[in-house]
Amino acid sequence: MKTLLLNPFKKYTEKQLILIGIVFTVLGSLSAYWFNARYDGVLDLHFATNVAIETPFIENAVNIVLLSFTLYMLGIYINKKTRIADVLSTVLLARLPFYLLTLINISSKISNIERKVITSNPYDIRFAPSEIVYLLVLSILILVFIVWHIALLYNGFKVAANLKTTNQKILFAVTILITEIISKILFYTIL
Amino acid sequence: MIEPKLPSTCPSCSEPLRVSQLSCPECQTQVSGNYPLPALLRLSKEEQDFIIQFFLSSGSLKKMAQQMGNSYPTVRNKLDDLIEKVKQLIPDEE
Repeated sequence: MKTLLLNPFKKYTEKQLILIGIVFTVLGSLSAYWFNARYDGVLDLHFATNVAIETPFIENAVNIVLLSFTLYMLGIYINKKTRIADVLSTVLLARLPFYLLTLINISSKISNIERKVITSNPYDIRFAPSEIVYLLVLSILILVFIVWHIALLYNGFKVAANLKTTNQKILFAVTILITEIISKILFYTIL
Repeated sequence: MIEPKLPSTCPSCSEPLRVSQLSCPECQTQVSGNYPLPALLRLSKEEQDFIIQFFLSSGSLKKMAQQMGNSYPTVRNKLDDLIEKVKQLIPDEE
């Protein structure tokens, strides 16, 4: 079970992983449409209002292509035998925690709280006790899911590129941060 | 009956062991000397099994991955690590 949740890349073939990854991506995109979520960055999930059906599909496509490209370039630099299929399957599957997190906006609860925060004077914001408990539980849940996302990304890339040294691990972290910046620039200036 | 494992490193100081005596089970002839263990025999049992498996599957990592129930890159990484290890063992023989 632990392998399945944290490191499926060790056991399953790239064909199986890519197929499951594509199914997750389609479901995750539909889920974002239903629960008004935006994937506006490789490490981002935000809630909005009236998200068009094509938006999550385009955002997912950009995030997956961009992160697969930068990680593949890093993979080739670290180990010439790195295959694009292994990097792609890693990126596809690592996004599962984001897709599951869209469910927290059932009944637009998060969107409503966000609207309340944005439209109110910061000194006058009043949360109902149920909202505070909800936000507290969510914060913990989001943290767990972000760790899960990073763990999937790291474990998959470790298998794909035979990551070993500390320098390589630092390069992996730097590449993800640079890709996040590039994706933000892409989403808010070009797309 | 458990087949005894050939030790490749000294249990006391972990240095590589050398062969000092060989004997014929038929006529009991004994040969004494000081021979280094070949590089492949200095690998662990698991590593030796991996190499035999690689040889028996005609060097097909895909076939090996299927047999071992692992993904292709996992098996390829294991082979790459093993190649590095054997490369480090070979200069010791010269």
